[in-house]
Amino acid sequence: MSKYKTVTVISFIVLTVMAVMVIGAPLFTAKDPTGVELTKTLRQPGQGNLLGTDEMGRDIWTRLLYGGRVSLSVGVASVAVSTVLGVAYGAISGYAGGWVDRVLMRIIDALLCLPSMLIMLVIQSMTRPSLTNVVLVIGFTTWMQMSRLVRTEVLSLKEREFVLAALAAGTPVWKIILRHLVPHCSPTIIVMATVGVGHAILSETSLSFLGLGIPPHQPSLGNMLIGGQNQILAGAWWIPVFPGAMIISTVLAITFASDGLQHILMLRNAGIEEGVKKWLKISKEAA
Amino acid sequence: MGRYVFSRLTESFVVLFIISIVAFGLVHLAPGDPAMALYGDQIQKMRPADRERIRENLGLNRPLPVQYYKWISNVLKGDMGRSFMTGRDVKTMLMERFPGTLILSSTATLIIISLTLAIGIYAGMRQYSFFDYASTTVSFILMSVPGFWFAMMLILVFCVGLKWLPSSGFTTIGTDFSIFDMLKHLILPAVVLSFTHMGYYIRLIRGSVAVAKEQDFVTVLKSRGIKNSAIVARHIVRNAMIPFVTYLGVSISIMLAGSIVTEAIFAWPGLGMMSVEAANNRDYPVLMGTILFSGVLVVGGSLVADLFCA
Repeated sequence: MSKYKTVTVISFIVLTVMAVMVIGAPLFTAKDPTGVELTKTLRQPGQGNLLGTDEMGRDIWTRLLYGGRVSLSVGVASVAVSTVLGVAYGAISGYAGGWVDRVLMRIIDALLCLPSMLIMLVIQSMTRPSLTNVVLVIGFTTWMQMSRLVRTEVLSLKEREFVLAALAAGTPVWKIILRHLVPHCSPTIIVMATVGVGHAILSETSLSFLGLGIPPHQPSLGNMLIGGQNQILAGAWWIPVFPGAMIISTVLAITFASDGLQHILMLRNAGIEEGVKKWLKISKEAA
Repeated sequence: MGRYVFSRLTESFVVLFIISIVAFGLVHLAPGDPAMALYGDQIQKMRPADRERIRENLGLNRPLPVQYYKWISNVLKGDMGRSFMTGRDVKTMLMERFPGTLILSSTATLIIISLTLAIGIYAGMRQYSFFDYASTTVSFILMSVPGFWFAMMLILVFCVGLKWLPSSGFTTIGTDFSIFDMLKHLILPAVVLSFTHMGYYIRLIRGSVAVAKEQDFVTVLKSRGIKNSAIVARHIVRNAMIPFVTYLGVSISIMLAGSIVTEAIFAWPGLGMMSVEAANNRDYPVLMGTILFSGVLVVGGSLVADLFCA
């Protein structure tokens, strides 16, 4: 147990440091992330530009901080969207049961059959690329796993005495779901949401890399990598290497944090055996 | 058995029906209509009468259910429409590009199955050993690497640095087709696609092996004096294979999603690259066709997997 706690604490420290750096970006750099300086293009790291400059002479360290700000906030905001949607859908489906549940779950089955990246591409191609759109698109295409897990938990929770007691006391159904059932699912919700932030950051960077995510005038960790392979072929390795390293370290910290949380939260409440079963289930869903 | 097959088939048709509605709905409920996409900014310069005429030609002025009915009955007859950009038949385009994706994703799947089974079983049998922790860390790293960035790093090492492998395409341009040449082009995309998806499977197999090896039947087999290696080969491997079979449908979906970025960066001519091009050009018939086609692949895959297990 303590080992997982150490890993989780370290991951959260790393994430906090990153959050402070990207939120307080102006404190760590004096340059403008969109400031084009055509006299200083493709400079190697060092020489007044800590991590070098890109093909338009923009400072990579500065863009890394501001881009990280965009990518991290997209990650968190889109998970907020998918969590609200997934929890509501799952809780309603599980509580209603019967044919409502069956229909709602068939819809989820169908949606899970569609490659998420493809759906994101299609929606992004039709709407004007902007920060809000990226958040909504990722949020609306990634809520299904959360929904399934919450539904399974609500399905068994609603048979418990405290729900019966609440019903007998005349508590309205929405209040039972919101006040009694959803809080009981919070370990699952927290773990899935943490996993989700990592996935969302990867989705945002992939979309932006393909030119269908964050618009080019706003730096993001993904669109900093557009044309990266050409720059590599031209010998400017520092342009793609640093944003990529930033993405990996962020997502890796999130992955370790979620794994630690999973062990801590799930093994504390359930017996070991039940915890392992839950863990297996979540791992399968996450895959 | 017959009843199960029947209910599973009905279920698949229901899911396919919902997918077709999603494919249609995504394109038709979006802000701005396909006519706008077809003509881009030019539409602003057109007279309202011309705009109306275009909408009528494309059938866009009719109610949505009618449009859906027309579209789906054409699709069922095998007519998926024509590309806005090239004017070519969508079905032909899909069939042309499908082999590319099939080659890439089946190679990647083979790599995934062989490597993850080996690593997952080894780690699962030695739970909490150094190897177990190392494989967990490696699989976390693999889960966190964006595919396109991993691709760039491989290009940096193998194409720019060592000059061993080509950085893009299906075959070398200007030469006759040869299997060897294609395989050389296949290595990097297949490595990217498989390695970025391996992490989950390693964790999954390790977990199920760790649970399986504690089960009573293993103790019984051991007490009978059956060798450890035989137990692993006969029973544990079979247990560990289960996720691959039951999650075949999901895996196809994940592979298709992953191949979009991989194909785009290596200019590998498959469905993924086609859909990125279509998305950039707002080529709706192609996009609708690709969604529907992927849906059929995934639903078909999970149906086969379930019937196989039953």
